[in-house]
Amino acid sequence: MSSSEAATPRWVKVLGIIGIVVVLVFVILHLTGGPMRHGV
Amino acid sequence: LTPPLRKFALTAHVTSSIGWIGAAVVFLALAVIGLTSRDEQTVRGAYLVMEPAAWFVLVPLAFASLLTGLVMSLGTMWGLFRHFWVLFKLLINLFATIVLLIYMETFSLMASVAGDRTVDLAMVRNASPMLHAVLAILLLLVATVLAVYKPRGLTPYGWRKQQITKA
Repeated sequence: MSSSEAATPRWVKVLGIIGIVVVLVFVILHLTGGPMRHGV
Repeated sequence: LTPPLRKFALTAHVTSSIGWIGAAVVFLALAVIGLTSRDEQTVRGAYLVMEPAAWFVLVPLAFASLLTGLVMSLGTMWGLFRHFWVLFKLLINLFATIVLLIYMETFSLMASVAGDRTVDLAMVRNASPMLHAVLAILLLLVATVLAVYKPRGLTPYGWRKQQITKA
C-alpha cells in the first residue's frame, strides 16, 4: 500500500470535524438550557 | 459468519436501521403536531404517546441496529475498527442510542406535564422533541449513506492489520 493510501482521507477529516462540532453544540445547548433542554 | 448467517444478519441490520429512521420520522410528525395543533386533546395526546412509543419502537430498534451492526462488522472482513466508514457508523449509532436513553426521562416528564389538565397548553408544547428528531434523522441518514457508499479509508489499525496479512 502506498503512503497516499495509508493517509487519512479528506472525507474522514471533514466528517470528523462536523461530528465534533455537532457534539459540542449539542452538549453546550443542553448545559445552557437552550431549546434542546431535557427538562420541561 | 457463514453466507446464510451473514445474509440474515445483514437483513436484520438493514431492517432495524431503516426502521429506526422511519420511527424517527414519525416522532418528528408527532412533535410537529404537538407544536402546531389547535386541538388541546391532540396536543396532550401527542406528548403522552411519545414515551410508550419510544420504549416500544425507538429503543428496541436502536439496540437491534447496534447489535446487528456489531455482528455484521465483527463477523465479516470489514471489522469494527479497520475502516473509517464502519467506525463512523459505530460512533453515530452509539451517540444516537445514548442520547435516546438519556432523553427517555424527558419523554416521561413531558408526558406527566401533558397529562396534568391544570397545566396550560402553552407549557405542554415543547420544541425539544422536534429538534432531537431532526438531529436523529440527519445522523441516521449519514450512517445510511456511509453504509451504501462505503467510502475508502483504512484506520491506522486497519492499515497495520492489512500489512500483517500481506506479509
